[in-house]
Amino acid sequence: MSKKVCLQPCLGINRPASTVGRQACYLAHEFLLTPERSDLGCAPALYAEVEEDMLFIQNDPVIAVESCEKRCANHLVNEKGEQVAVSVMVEDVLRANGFDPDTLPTEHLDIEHPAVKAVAEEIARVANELLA
Amino acid sequence: MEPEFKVAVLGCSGIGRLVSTIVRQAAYMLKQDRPDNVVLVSSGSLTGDVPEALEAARKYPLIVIDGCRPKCASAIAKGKGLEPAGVIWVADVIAKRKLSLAGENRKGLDEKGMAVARAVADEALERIDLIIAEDMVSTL
Repeated sequence: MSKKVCLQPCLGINRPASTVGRQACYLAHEFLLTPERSDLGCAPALYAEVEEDMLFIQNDPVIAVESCEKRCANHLVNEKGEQVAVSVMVEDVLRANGFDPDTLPTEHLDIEHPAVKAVAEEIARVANELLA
Repeated sequence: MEPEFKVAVLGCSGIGRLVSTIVRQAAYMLKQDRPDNVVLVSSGSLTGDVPEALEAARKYPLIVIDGCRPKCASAIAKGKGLEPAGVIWVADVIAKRKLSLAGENRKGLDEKGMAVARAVADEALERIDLIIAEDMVSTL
C-alpha cells in the first residue's frame, strides 16, 4: 500500500482554474493531507528530471490536478514513463460547488478562498481513497 | 497587417519553492505593464506540448525567467528547441538589488516577496522594451 500520493498540478498561468489548482495543492499538501501523506510535484522540475520529482511519480500514485481538457499534467507524467492514478478536473469541481471559473481571479487566490478549499477537499478525498 | 511587436515570457512558475511564486507573480506584472506586447507562455502548457503555447514561444522573441537552481524554465526552452532572446535568473536580481526574502511564504507573497517580483519584472521589462524597440526601428 502506498504511504503517500504525489499531487501534480498542471501549473498553467493563463486560466483562473490553474491558479485555483495550484493553491489547492498547497492547502491539500500542507494541511489536509500533510507532507507525511503527500508529495508536491513540480511540472517544470519534472520536465527537467530533477531527481526528487522523478521519484515522486515513480514511488507514489499520482493525482493530476488539471485546469482544462488539455491535461498537461497527464501528458508530462506519461512522457516521463509513468501513469496518473486519478485526475482532478478543477473546473468541474468548481462548477459542482457553485463557482463560475471564469469569474475567479487569475493572478492569486488565498488558500482560505472557498473555491480553493473546495478543490483541495476534492484532492484530499481522492487521495484518501488511494491511500486507504 | 499591423506589426505586432510582441514578446513571449516563459517563467518557471513551479510550485515547490517560494521563488516559483515570485516568478509567477513577476509574469503577471509583466502582462499588466505591457498588456499589448507580452504573451505569457506557461511552463505547464509547454510541458504539455499545447500547440498554441509552442506556437507563441516560437513566433515571438522569448524571455525566460528561471527561479531556483535547476533552472527548469531554461531546461524547458532547450527541450522544446526554443532559443531565448534573454534569460533572467531571480538570484541575480536579488543579489544585484540586495533584496531579502526572509519571512516570505510560497502560498502568497507579502511585501518583500512582491518587491522581489517587481524587481524581476523590471529587469525583464528592460529586455522586453529593448526587443520591441529594436523590432520597431527595423520594421516601421
